[in-house]
Amino acid sequence: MQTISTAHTAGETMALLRITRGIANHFHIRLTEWAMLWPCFLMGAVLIFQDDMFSLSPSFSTLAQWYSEDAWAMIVLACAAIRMVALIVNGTFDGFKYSPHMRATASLVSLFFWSQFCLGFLVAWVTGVGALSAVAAYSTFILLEVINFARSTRDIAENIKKSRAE
Amino acid sequence: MFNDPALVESFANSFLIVCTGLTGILAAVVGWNKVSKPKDIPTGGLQVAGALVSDAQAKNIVAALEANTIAMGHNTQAAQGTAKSIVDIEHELRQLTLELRLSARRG
Repeated sequence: MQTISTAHTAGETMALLRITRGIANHFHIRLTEWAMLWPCFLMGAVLIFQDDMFSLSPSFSTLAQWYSEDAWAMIVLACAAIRMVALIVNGTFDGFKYSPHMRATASLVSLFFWSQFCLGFLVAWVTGVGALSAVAAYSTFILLEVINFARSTRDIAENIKKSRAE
Repeated sequence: MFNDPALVESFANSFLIVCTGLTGILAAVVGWNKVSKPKDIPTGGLQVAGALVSDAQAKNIVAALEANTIAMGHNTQAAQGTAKSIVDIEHELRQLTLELRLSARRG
């Protein structure tokens, strides 16, 4: 019994090592995607914990036009979770062919969220009740997500061509 | 134009959709072309040692191999000849040694 549990623990350790190495090897290539995990998770948590945020400022009116705070929280957190799974799988298990698709989807959803978030502040400034500084900051997230989407579609195209060549 | 929030929204969204779409298409084209095609082999091309070569290259490789094989044959014959010479020399030395011993006994 001790031998079986030792083998089981060794197997788990090997799997963990493999995942860690896979992530480390691809980390610098996927840096922008890993970086965008943080604001997505944090914003999802913020939307859950501060459930009256949309009512505090007219800057969130654009977001509120689409969905409620809770719905946005679920969307953003799901997007971050899918992205995290895709990044872990992509770095470790090369046999799974759909991680670029998952990354592209997560990038598009995140891009949609941050664009509407940023647009809200822009519209608030246009109507004279907001500041443009938030546009300067959040447009950076939009730019990063466009880059992430481009990288994902590039990987999708590469995989398709490779699978056709085989 | 920039005083109308609805116009600003629609312009910004349209701009973002177009930019994202174009960037995605461009990146896909880059990724597609990044995967190199296997070299086109002329008719009659061969596979040598796992590498795809043209017909002319294959003929050169075969000719070189044949020349090396012939050279190896010559070297083998020369080595055999040398070995035979060594055996002969050894036989002669034994003969000489025997004659010297006989001479020594007579002397």
